[in-house]
Amino acid sequence: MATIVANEQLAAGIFRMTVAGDHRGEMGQFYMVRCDDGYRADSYPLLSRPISIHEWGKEGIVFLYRVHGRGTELLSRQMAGQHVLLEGPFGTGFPRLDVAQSSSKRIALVGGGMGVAPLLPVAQHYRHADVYLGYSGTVFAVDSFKKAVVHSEQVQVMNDARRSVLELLDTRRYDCIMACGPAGMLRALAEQCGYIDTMSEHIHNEWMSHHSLATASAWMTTEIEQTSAEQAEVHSSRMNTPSMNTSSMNIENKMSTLQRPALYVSIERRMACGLGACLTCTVRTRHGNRRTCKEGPVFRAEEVCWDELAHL
Amino acid sequence: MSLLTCNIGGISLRNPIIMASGTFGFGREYAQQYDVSVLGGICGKGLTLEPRAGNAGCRVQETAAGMLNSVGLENPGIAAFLADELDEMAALGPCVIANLGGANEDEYVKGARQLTADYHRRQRAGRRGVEMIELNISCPNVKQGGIQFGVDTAMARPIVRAVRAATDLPLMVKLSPNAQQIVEMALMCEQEGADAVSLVNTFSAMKIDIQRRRSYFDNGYAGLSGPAIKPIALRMVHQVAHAVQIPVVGMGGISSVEDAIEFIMAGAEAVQVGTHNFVNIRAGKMLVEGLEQWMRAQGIASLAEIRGIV
Ligand SMILES: Cc1cc2nc3c(=O)[nH]c(=O)nc-3n(C[C@H](O)[C@H](O)[C@H](O)COP(=O)(O)OP(=O)(O)OC[C@H]3O[C@@H](n4cnc5c(N)ncnc54)[C@H](O)[C@@H]3O)c2cc1C
Ligand SMILES: Cc1cc2nc3c(=O)[nH]c(=O)nc-3n(C[C@H](O)[C@H](O)[C@H](O)COP(=O)(O)O)c2cc1C
Ligand code: FES
Repeated sequence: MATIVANEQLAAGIFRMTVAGDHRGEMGQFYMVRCDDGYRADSYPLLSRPISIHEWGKEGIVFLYRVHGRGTELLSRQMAGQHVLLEGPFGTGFPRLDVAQSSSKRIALVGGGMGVAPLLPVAQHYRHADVYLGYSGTVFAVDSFKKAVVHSEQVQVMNDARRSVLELLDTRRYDCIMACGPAGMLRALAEQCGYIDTMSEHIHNEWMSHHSLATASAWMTTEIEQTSAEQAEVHSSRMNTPSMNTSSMNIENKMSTLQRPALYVSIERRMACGLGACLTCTVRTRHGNRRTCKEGPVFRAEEVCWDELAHL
Repeated sequence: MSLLTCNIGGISLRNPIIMASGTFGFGREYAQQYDVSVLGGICGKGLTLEPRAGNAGCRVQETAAGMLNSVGLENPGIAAFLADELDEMAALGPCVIANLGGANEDEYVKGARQLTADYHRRQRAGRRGVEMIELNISCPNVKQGGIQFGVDTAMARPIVRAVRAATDLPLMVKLSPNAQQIVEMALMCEQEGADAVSLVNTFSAMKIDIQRRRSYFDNGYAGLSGPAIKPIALRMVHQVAHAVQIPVVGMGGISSVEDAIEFIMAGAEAVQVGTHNFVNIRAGKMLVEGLEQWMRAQGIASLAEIRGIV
């Protein structure tokens, strides 16, 4: 049982709850949270709710959450001095890249909506990272991110229900991107980074084996918006074209600097136990089934079966 | 702790609190949360001969005082369980119970043989292994259009008979509450030589997404568990315990010491706890300690004093 220090409303339906105590964890991990109901059989909700670690504050651990249904609504009505029940930290979070390596690595953090919540500790860790935050109407936590990074200009915000934060982002400028947000946003990001083939594997292979590099580049130019000839070369090099040979030296040189960025995404699944025992949160990955609460919620983009990332 | 000891199929449990299959993994994750050696037993995740990926789509929905699950027997397969999980599970301390599922008689029998052979191999080497089989007959019968074996006594009988013949390990048959005649089903298990029956598994149930105008679950129906099912489960345990001579292990919505005592008073030798592990991560420990406290406070020296008194 842990005491609530503060539970403030930041914007309509958005709350920031601070809970006293030494609640540890890694960036991207989460806690299973419930109101202090004495674990009664007739309490609603029965299951605890997974909420990401947003910050370790002076007075305790901080959760940033949106009132979604009854569980989070009940949580939002708790006052300072009341109690919540926390279990955790659970899951595998965002990677801690080698520190010496990471200052030279160009890192971007991309958050959509409530997906910004787990990224604050990541921004505090990678203070040189660029941060892209997307909202659709209600903006929150931006100041926290500006304080976390070295220069506040590293933080860019898109607040438009009809436009995506991804419009602000040139994925080729980064070695590593870490993201959390709606499944649609994560998918679009993976596509933008070159993790999803728009063509099926079969057509792709056949097509590639019948076309020269020049036509491949031409195809890319029409396929990808605002693509310069140079970028097209890069895209075709990512495709690992069999026809690419040593005569394309200029392309090979670019490959080393313009490879697709490593992409880590934090995904959501409905959970029951939160600790890896019940298998209700399983996702299909390229390496077989994985538990979102244990091997996840952060996965490498190449592991995710994007077409099966069903909504909750 | 002789206060709480109980006996199932010749195996003595230090107390009657057993973790229910599918809700406790193989014990490893909960062992990181509390000292699970206080428990009477652990039923591992339901196993099948071959690995299974489980169901696609949404696997859990919450309902009033309960939850629906559609995990669909995702498991690593018996061979991988024996190779990668069992040593660690056996080291935890509580009685090791393997929950066995299957799609047809052949799969059940081969699974039972494999578990049994492994037990004997380990025993010769002086090592602990699977100490009891809980036969899960709530699996869909692929030959009969996916209807659960455990619905129809005539369909379940050959499975129980064949598995009984395939193993000399204590055999506990886990009954489905969807059985047409649950007492008849339990009597059949007793006749076929089962050492115990456990009940209940989840109730076949449903929840519809009115926005998308379809079931939340790709399989249509899912299994209901938790406090919502307790009164019905208790009635079934009461009926069965008064009909058979073999031990009955009761479960369904147990969330407190009082709930566990109700099942014992209804005639259960021991109880299992499933969904409550998700509500209170230390549910097992809470129940073991709470039950002992209650007995001392009531001046009861043995569970036999209250078992089946209602
Ligand atoms: C790893 C992880 C981290 C999360 N971190 C945050 C966070 O930092 N801030 C935040 O606002 N939200 C977060 N969420 C989402 C949050 O858990 C859900 O919004 C919340 O469970 C909804 O509960 P409810 O009772 O208000 O809504 P209801 O719709 O009434 O919930 C009903 C059921 O759906 C489940 N559920 C609904 N939406 C989700 C969801 N998106 N993810 C998982 N389960 C869901 C609930 O657990 C519950 O079982 C996270 C989810 C996951 C999986
Ligand atoms: C997520 C989940 C997975 C389950 N998996 C199995 C299983 O593999 N085999 C089995 O016999 N029962 C399984 N069950 C049923 C439980 O063991 C138990 O019979 C049922 O949940 C009723 O008890 P409870 O209300 O305490 O949860 C599962 C239940 C849940 C909630
Ligand atoms: S929520 Fe139980 S295994 Fe992930």
